[in-house]
Amino acid sequence: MTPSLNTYLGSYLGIVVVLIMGVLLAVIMIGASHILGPRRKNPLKDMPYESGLPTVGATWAPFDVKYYIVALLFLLFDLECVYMYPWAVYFKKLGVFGLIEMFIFIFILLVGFVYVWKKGALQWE
Amino acid sequence: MDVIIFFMAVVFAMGSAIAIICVKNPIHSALWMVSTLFCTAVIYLLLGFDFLAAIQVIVYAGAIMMLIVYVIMLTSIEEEIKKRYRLRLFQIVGIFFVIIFFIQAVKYGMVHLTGWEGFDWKSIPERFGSVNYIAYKLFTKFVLPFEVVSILLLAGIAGAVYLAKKEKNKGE
Repeated sequence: MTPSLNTYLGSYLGIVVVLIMGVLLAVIMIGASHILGPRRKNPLKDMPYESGLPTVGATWAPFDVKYYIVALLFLLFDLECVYMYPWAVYFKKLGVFGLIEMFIFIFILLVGFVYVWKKGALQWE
Repeated sequence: MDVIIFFMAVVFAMGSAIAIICVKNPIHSALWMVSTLFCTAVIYLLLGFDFLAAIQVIVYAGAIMMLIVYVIMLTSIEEEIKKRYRLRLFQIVGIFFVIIFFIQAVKYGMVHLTGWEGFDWKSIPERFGSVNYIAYKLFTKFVLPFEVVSILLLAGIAGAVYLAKKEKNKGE
């Protein structure tokens, strides 16, 4: 059973190889340091580390809501990118028409981006 | 070969789905959910829906899971973790039977009630869910809906900014 690159599933062989390599690399790196690395524990080393200072209060502090808007905006612009995927695949056959379509699409979203910028949502103060 | 991959994906998906509700740390739950979504993407791929599989990984496993992790981080749940409800063996078995019952019910509904029984599957064009086919339909016949989607995303952006800004003013 030799998977061929010409079949439908065979064309995803590259992704499988990358996945396996990624998992193997992580396993080898963590495993090797676990086996080879010396472990000399003392109470000072086991303390939670925070910029060289002892931690105060609960370590699981709630995040600022500011981070959440960045996540939300990322989600929306990620969805924009999703539409570019079939467009890029089919671009050669669409020609100039496809280019104009995508320009309109991106222009409308660019308005949103300018709004976000002007509103100061990306400001970190 | 297809069958082997399918069963591997199903077993991994089910295993990680059970792990989501069984592990103690919510962040670990989120990671297991990524695994479940990824396995579902593999199943989509086997069905020939390669665009859906890509979306599943990019949007669900990528963006939406990140949003969920952010929500976990935004709330302080240290106490929640300590008293988190744990599943026992009998409960898992019970859930398993509920799932089987649910699958059977859905199967019955799909096949007998919706008229799919007499549906001509051959009428669906070849490579129906492929990226090429979707691109062809989206950028020729459905151009206007495609452009309208950008307006929808624009509304989403405006809404996100409005909500987060309002929240911030309240806090100060």
